[in-house]
Amino acid sequence: MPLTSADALSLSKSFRDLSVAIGDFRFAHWDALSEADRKMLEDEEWSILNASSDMVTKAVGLALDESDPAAKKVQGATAAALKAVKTLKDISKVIGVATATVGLAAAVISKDPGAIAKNAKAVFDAATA
Amino acid sequence: MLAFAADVNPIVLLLPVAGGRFMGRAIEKPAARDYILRERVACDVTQGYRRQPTAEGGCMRLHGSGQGVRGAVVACLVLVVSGCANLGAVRDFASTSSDAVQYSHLVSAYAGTPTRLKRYEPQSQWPELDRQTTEREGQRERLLLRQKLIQEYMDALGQLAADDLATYDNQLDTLGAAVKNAKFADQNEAAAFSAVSKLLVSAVTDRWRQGKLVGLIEQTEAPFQTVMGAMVTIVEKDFGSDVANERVALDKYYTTLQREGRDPAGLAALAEWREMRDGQLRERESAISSYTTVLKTIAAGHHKLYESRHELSKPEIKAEIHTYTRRLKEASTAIARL
Repeated sequence: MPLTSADALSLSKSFRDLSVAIGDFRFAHWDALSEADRKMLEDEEWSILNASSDMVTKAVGLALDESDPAAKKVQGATAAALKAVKTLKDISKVIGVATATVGLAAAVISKDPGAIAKNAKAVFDAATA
Repeated sequence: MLAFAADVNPIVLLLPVAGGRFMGRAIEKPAARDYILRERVACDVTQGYRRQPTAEGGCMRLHGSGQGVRGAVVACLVLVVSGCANLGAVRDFASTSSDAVQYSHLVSAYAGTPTRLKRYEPQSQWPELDRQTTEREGQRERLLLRQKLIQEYMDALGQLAADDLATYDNQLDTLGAAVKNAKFADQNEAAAFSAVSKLLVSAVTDRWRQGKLVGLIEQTEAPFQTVMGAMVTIVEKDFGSDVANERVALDKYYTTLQREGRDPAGLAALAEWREMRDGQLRERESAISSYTTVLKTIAAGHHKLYESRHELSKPEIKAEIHTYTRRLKEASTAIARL
């Protein structure tokens, strides 16, 4: 997926917001979460935050050309994930959304269009399940 | 001894006694053209730290007597006839811009973010952070080259405004090589960068003087704004996002520790460290804000030079240029205080 600088910056914000939202969920449900779940969520928060950091690196190095439609699909998936994490109460569903987002972030970094499409769908599915 | 160089303005040679000393010295110099050019700058008594010292009292000494007044009139006539304009405001703006743009701390901070994030993140994340560090280190030269180009350009602009020769810096070769090596992903910016650097090389190799200043501003305006626009985006938005990410990492790390902590003394110490780290981030945000102001002011100031290129010595235009210079100095001072 050929990202533009603006796409990368926008994705950076999407991933950062999602990492913050998952963190807020973890702190809000601190006592209800098992230690293992807390650890799993925290690891996913870091992975998503690092994907955000990677998008900043890409934004600095990329052109400002026309945006690629695939980037919009990723942004749509992360927006759905953010909405889900902010509204869901079910711990296992939030973990599912977070795990799917980590997969999407890895696919974006790998620039594999097939993997991006597959993981974007997985995020949508987890967010709307 | 009285064989004048072909480019000595004959009207200057007709000027009477009070200019005698001036003329006498002019014709004693074998390189008459260079001498006259230097003298023009010496008579520009207004401002600019790159102003050359006045020789043997120069124009200022002529104000005290009738003969001095006559001398001043003559000197002014010389200025008018020889086409020398008082461009002190342009020189000040250019030299202030050159100084202000050389702020590399933000680039270093950006390159170092993944390494700093290691203090907050579990070891399982470190390989990814190491990869990002390597990638950012690879971007460092390109980021600094933009600053270098603006610095070199502003130096040349100031030198031409002072009617000096633009000086050669080996960095110009680096600039040219950077463009050739296609280090810029954005082709528009690469073309703009190349255009500005080629004009700089021309200014040096063709020994441009003040007469070329308007042409330089005209030809540079469009590519200059492209380069400045790219720099503003990177500093304001990309570096701004980078700090936002670091703040999220800081918040996650300390909030988790504080949720897990039980020891009051340990929690108090954590709170102090958190405040200290947060203060460092606030300083970086301030630096980004001030440096963005610097870049936007340089861009706006250059645009003003472009718009007013044919009337740069008018008092009202000088006053406006001074406003940009003052804003640059304020922003630079704010950065220096951090």
